[in-house]
Amino acid sequence: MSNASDADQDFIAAAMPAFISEAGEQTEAIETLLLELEEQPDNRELLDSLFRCAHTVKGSAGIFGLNKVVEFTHHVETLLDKCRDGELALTPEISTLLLKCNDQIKFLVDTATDETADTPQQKDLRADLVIQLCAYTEGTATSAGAAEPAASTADTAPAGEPGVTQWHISARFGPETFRNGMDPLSIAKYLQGLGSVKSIVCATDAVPSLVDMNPETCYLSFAMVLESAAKRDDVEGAFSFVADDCELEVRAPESPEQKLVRAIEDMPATPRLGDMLVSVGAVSQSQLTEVLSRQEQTAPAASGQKAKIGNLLETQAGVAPAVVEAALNKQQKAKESGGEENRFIRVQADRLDAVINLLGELVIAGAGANLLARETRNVALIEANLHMNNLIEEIRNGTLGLRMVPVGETFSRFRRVVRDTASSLGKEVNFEIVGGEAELDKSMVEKIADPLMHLVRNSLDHGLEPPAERVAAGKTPAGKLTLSAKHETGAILIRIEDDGRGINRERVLQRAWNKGLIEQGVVPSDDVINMMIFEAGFSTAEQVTNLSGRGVGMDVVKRNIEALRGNLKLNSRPGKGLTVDIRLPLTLAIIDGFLVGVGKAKFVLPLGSVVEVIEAGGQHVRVDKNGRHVVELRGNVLPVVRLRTLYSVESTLPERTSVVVVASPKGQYGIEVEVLMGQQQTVIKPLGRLFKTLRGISGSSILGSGEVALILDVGSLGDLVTADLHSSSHLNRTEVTP
Amino acid sequence: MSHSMTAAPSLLPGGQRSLQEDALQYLTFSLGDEVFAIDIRSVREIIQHGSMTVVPLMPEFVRGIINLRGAVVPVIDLQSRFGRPKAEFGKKTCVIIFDVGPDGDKVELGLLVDAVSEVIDIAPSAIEPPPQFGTTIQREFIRGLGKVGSEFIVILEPERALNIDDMVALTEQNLIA
Repeated sequence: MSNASDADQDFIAAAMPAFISEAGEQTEAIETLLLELEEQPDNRELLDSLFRCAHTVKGSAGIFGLNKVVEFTHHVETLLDKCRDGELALTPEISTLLLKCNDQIKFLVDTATDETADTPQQKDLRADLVIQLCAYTEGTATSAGAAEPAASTADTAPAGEPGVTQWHISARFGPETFRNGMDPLSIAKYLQGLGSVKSIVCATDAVPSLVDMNPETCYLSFAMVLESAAKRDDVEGAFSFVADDCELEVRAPESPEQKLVRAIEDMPATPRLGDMLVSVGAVSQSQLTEVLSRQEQTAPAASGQKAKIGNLLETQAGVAPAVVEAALNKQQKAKESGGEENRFIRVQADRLDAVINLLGELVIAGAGANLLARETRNVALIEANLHMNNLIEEIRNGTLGLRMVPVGETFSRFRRVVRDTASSLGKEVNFEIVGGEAELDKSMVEKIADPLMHLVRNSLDHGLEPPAERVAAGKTPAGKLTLSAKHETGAILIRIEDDGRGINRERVLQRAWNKGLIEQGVVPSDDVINMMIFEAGFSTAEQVTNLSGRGVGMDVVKRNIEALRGNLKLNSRPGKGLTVDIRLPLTLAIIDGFLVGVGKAKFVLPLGSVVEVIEAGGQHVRVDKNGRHVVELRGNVLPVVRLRTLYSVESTLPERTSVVVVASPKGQYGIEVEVLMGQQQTVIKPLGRLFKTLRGISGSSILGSGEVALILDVGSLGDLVTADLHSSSHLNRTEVTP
Repeated sequence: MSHSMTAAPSLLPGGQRSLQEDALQYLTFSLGDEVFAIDIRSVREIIQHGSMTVVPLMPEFVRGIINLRGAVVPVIDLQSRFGRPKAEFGKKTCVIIFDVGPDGDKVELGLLVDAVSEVIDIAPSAIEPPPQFGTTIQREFIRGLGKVGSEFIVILEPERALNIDDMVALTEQNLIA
């Protein structure tokens, strides 16, 4: 890199962030694949993808001259190659080692631009990992060094003359070889007599240091590529004298047919069978054209169904059936996966954000134009505007869809956390992910990852019991932890469920009293006690572990989720488990809103939470014996929020008011408003830090007229109503106790 | 990442200017009978006071939010922030839009003032530290006293007078009370 020109340097510097982000994705994929492979170790496709990921990282690191990454990843690749060739089984031990290696790759990539980050400890760790990797790779027939030339020559063209084939031979001689009077060199020489040796490598890495070396012991192994007309028996015969004491592998040369099959498997999938066969050279383009035209001609004459192109190629162009079959399989797979890999476009997040911001403006401008059109009472103009607004709405939905990503990607990251955490705690756990395909705004996904991680760890640490305790409680030794996601109207519900011990309410209450979070002697409702675990500075774990128990975290979790306009709900079943429900809005950008007015102020309610509207229902609002405003609706008594009094809006009391019934996680309640202005697309503008303590309002929105309206947060507004209830009952209780 | 790389050099000229140039420019405005000045580098624009949406349950100095070409900006009543009766809307009432907060965490705020006067140059040598006593507003809100002709103009320190965290804390107290 030192002699690279400035232009190269500039290019590398500019492309580096992209490399780091891409390599980050690859390492994430490696982790996911490894964990999936633990569950289905025989899945060849996963193994192939795994190898590809590692190879991609290595390759692109090479472009950037990141030698450390290349060297290290090379060892990983070698091991993966062995697994792929079936020489090694992907045991849990190897998998654990590979996960550690992946962490190291991640570290090297992340610190690619920072020379100082690679501390001696990291170097030691890396060297240690390499030793472990080599222990596996060299334990098999071919040593790491010897595997190289074999692999590289495998790609060269098959031997031209008929009958002459390429044999890939690798032999590791036993330690007693010399003492038995054999000499590997003579065997090599004998093989040379059978044909021409294309390449030969002697692996000397098993040779110990001079002090430890026994000159009579054989430490050697070699790999060679032999081009010869000899049969397998002849080649193997060369080793007959050492056969008992030698690990020998003679790989069958590939027939041209097998080569084609492999080439087809390795090539990127294209939807057309013929193209696939042409590009690997199984048929020529002219042959294909000929067959295709014949297919056209014969088609109508036959049963109305076209003759299969594969069959035609087999019979007319002389393509081997095995080759056609491989291509057909490939085609089928490409169809199943929809050729996913080729159909993604990488877009910079800020470009997308810019489009969405503009779209927000467009929605506002559209609403404004609509308003003006209505004022003109020109029917044609109104209709044109309506049509345009419909289109805007479709564009809106489509564009917001671009930001949606499945939560599964984030969830599967937790597999590793669960696995490592559980093993470090000495607990057994079956981790299950349900509904990973549910989609959520990308920015939300990023922000929800940390809180979720905390909750998952908390369940593992505090919720699930150690195996012995579980058995004593009549449960299975392995705990169950489920992370699930599903869509609810306009929101996503993420649930973390365990079958552990649940929340110990007595201990929580005791702690809350001691910490002064609740007045001594006061016993609030179970829900309130459960939610205490989200208070700052609260922790019931008897001993502080390095995972959780410091009392930092759970309050942050709650705050982060509330910052996303989400809410948290706990359902604790003492001794049986704990369920944490997180409800989040699908997007932070645009919602369908319902516009209402109180005095001069305008408020937007998320349309998804509006159940019904009682027009002129204000007359039915009365005050119950607790001093609450309530309205009776089909026999049910609903609490009512009076926006005017709650937010002290200045207005003359209108003659009639309406009640909007909304659904919140705590149940339905009414909101008394003065004017109903109907449905409207609402671009959410966050209110900023200054307003972060504001309850009951989640943001603001600009109306078509240019006015700013406040968006009501139905969830926390509902809390205000129920909080009133609590405080009133609370008062009663404290009045009684003294 | 490329963002921060391009941002870094663009910060330099500003920093250099403050070292090289002698006089800095200040925007003066009036609150009641008094004249104040703020460093013009943090001022984005000045707009006429128009319709404003009141945000409920906020302390008096948060007068509301306005629509600034699609962005929602809170408006602070400086009079009220200084603990005086809140400003009345007059003919010359303006909103000064400016940035406050540390680099990378800038917040746009609107400042409700009775009238905007002019942009003046004040040399650093003509700025005296805030007096120990006798000021009509909290001493920490003042960056210094600028001598203009025979008069002294109070130069505000917006990072203190309009510190977001301080104002959030006040809002919290307001909610509890």
